[in-house]
Amino acid sequence: MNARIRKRPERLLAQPAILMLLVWMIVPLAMTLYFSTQYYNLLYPGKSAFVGLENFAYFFTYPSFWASVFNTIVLVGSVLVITVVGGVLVSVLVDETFPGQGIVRMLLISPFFIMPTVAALVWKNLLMNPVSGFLAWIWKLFGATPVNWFADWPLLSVIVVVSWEWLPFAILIFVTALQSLDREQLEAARMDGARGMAIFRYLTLPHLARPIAVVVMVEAIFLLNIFAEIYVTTNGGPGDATTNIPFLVYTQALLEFDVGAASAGGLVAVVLANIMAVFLIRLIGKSLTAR
Amino acid sequence: MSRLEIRSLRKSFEGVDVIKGIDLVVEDREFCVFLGPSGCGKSTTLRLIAGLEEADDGQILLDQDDITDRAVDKRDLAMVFQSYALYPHMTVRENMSFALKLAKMDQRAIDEKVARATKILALQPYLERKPSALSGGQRQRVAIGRAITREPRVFLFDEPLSNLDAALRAATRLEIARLHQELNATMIYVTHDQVEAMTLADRIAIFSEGRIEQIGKPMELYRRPVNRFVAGFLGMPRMNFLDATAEGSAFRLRNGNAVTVPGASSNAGAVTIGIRPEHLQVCDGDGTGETVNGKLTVVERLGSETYAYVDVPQVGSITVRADGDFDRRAGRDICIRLDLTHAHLFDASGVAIHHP
Amino acid sequence: MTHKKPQRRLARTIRAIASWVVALVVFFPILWMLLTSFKSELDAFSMPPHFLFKPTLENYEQILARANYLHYAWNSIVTAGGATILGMIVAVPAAYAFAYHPTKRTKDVLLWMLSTKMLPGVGVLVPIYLICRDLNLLDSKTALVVIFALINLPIMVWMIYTYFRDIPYDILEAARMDGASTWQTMFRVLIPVSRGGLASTALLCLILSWNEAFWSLNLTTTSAAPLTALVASFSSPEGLFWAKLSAVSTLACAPILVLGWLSQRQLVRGLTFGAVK
Repeated sequence: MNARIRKRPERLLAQPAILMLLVWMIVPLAMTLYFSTQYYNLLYPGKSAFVGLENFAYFFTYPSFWASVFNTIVLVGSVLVITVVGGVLVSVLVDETFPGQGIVRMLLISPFFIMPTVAALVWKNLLMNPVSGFLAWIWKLFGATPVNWFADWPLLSVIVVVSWEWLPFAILIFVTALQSLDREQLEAARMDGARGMAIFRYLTLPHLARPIAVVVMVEAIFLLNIFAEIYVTTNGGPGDATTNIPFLVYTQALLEFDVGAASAGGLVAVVLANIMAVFLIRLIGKSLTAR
Repeated sequence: MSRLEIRSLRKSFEGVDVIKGIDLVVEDREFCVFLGPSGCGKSTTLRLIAGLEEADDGQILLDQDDITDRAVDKRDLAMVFQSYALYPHMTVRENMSFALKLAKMDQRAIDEKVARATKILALQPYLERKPSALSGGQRQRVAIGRAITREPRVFLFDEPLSNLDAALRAATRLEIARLHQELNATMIYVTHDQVEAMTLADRIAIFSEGRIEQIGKPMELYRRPVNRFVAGFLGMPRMNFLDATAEGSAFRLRNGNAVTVPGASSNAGAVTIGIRPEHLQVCDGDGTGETVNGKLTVVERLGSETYAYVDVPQVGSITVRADGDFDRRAGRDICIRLDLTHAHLFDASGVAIHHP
Repeated sequence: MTHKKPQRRLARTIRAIASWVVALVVFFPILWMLLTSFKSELDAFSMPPHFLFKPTLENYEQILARANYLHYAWNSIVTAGGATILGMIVAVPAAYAFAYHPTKRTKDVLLWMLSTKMLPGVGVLVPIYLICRDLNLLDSKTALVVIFALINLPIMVWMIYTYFRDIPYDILEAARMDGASTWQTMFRVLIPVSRGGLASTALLCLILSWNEAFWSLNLTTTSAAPLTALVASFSSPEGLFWAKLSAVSTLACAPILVLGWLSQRQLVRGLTFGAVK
């Protein structure tokens, strides 16, 4: 008999989204690739020339480059550890019902919804200011000299701010995940004689393993791109103490107008992100699309 | 007129042939049941008729109209889904009017048709409720009501009773029979339950592994099954199958006994004798006729009748139907009278070669 | 056995108190910011900090009048709202195709979308900046709307995809049998049934766009600058400004904070790409 022609117009519905993202991803990346091989300074546009890998050499030997890599790793790593460990502990703490549990949850997740610029400035001024900040007052109460946070410990200060912003995210995810912990399993474990620490180690933590992986992945995506908090507090300084890779690229591009070097830096950031992404997607991807 | 014809229908999923060539005619106003075990292709065939799947090959004709390539929404068929598939965000009334609104019918006509379906199915108290506020049986009636308001050319039912509890199932079965009489429409009904098939169908099509084994009236299939599969599928408890070797006019069972099947003789070698439990009897002690001995393993007392399961050495398990007041106990020895007047014979490949 | 009860009760009380303490400590900066917004600048800067003070609305008045808060707020509303609308228009059909008409490549495409979210903004800062400059879109709301929609598109598609997969497909088949075309099925059945999930997705996009602080800082100067930029301008002012900063910040963050409180459970799904529900 006759064969059928398969028509599936519904599949085309996905095309706009796919196309948009494709263009968004490919066109700028291609341009970045192109620019990274050019000498192109926005102040002297006429003087563009192909310089091969010189921009990369320049970038890699730029004194701040390795500092920025180090800062990025420290920033991302510390925040991840603080938020995951803190998040697990806090979410376990608030898991039992008590009066006002709903309000406590609301309070705990609030910082996540605060704009990064607001968070950074509130911390820098109202809290961490060595003269009139709230923390200064606390230090004085204990008879110690107030810490000049952003001057003496710039990177640490940024880490504190960013951790405060992202801890609620981890708490929110873990609290939600804990609610799906099988109560009957808990009861069975209790009947088997398990108490606090054992329950935590053998039931709670394994149940949280996947949410922890997801939190790490999602946070890593965003933490690699921390920009605003640095921009409004230290501007990368003092020196390059708080310059991370995104900020370094930004200074090259929009402050020194060196498009070539900035593009080279941008590519480095992309490569780093992709390395992380490959690991993380393989880790998470299967569980995301499993039915 | 709503006559459905299927010719050489074929369908495969991911390289596996699921429907291997179906030919079928459902006459106008007929209640045709697609019966078979799970995975046999009956639901797939129904979905092909509905247009929810596309056929790889073959034709589907509705009153000489070729609808094989037509879109789902243009076939004028209505389906009652196994899970009812009611629209959760609409009330019962809106569920039943949805199709008519899409067809841009005027409100008065819609109200009339909804009122008619509501009356037939006694849905009056539920019209303004949403599906989540209804019980399983009520939802099922709404699903049927939704199909009725459309007055389609053919009604398609996909295992509509399988999600109901036993009592409700029996009651709803009667309602569907009554519905068919009242609406006088062509209906195709898919089920794996042979009781539903036997009681509701004008004709039954028995499916197995993507093919139709036999089509015919229920009693035809029951009395003259065309092969072992059909014989074993209809009838509860299942027909007894005894392996034997044909020796002219006698048949030698595995335990050495020779039996006769009146009217049948064969030299076909290995055969299977099929006899239904209701055609066997427990010996009444007078020792006449061909008998066989075994141990009574299980007795199932239903009140109106009793089924005795007997383990006969080297032959197998034989089920016998006895009276309601059968009082022998399990574990005892028992004798069965092998009066094979009503036996069927199947050859080595399962095809029937003799019917009583 | 009987002396376990008071022990359990004590443990529970300690836990409850500890929870409240942690919550208040975490929330404190926000609370302090709120309080400071009602202080005079002198009160705000004083040491030791004034816990009791005479509240004043002068900061809010000044913000609304002189700092032109409404202009920036309007930009935030337009860019966040516009991005959400654009994103939903593109994401819903895409999620429909992925959920109900998947191909062998669907999983790969979905994971690829996830990876575009991992693309660091700096990687494309230069080209995007130059493209905007050449198209005269620097400091324009249009550029922000498009960019915000693009960076949140992966999350939106994933989130809606997981919601659609939770809906039994035979409801859509029933609609088709009732005579609905593909578009009618989507608009009259699918979207109404999934409106909870769609609302959560839109909300998440709104929140993420409102708080976005990379493109909004780098591509705008004055006319299209949203609230993130207004707050950022307080990073190097002259004189006392803490109270005003607090007032601006409170106004900028309050709506999103409330929205976030109301929808916290639903947001989890989107924030984790559907991995945690």
